[in-house]
Amino acid sequence: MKIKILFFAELREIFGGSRFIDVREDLTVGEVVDLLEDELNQSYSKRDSLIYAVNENFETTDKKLKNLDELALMTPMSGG
Amino acid sequence: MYLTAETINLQRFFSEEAPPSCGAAVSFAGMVRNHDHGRAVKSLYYDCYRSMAEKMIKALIEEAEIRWQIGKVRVLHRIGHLEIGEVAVAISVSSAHRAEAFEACRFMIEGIKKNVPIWKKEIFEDGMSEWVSCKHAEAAS
Repeated sequence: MKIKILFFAELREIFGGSRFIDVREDLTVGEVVDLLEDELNQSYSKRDSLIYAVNENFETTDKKLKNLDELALMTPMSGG
Repeated sequence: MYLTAETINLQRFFSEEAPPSCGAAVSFAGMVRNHDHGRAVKSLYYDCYRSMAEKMIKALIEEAEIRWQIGKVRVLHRIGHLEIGEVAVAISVSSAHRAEAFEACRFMIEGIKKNVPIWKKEIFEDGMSEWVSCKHAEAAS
């Protein structure tokens, strides 16, 4: 299946704004993030603090993904 | 539309009249200040997950409307590059009586800081820059 991953702020500077990846069916958010681990480790040390959204709804790493889902990887927010 | 890349004009934002049933209006504005944790700040840059941020602000307003008897809630949050003194966020809440407007306005700004996907980068006078993290942001606010 195909997943669109979105990056913002600090992560946007590292990964670019978005990318599509092809993964096997039924992967969870956490498993998709594992696939990026090497890149994350090189650049972003606070993986435990990441916040996830799937199709604009906050989700945990257990959330199973479907084809064409939009997964956002977000650092803690700092608006206002 | 709660996000804008245009300069927020406070006079214009706060000039909108409250509904006739409202006897109170509370307004909040967050501005770019020239220092943070002892460092001289030159400017800010705000990034956002635009579609989700719009949705989350709308959800916060709907929650405030359930929790308090309020008239109208308006929110405008700036994105992009901001200079010192520019308005980053403006909120106004009207209600029949003042207590609800004060509480709902506070609820809105705290909710925006915690739950709306917007991120702030500080550009310092010394040429360095840094994305502000959540805890850091709470301490700084």
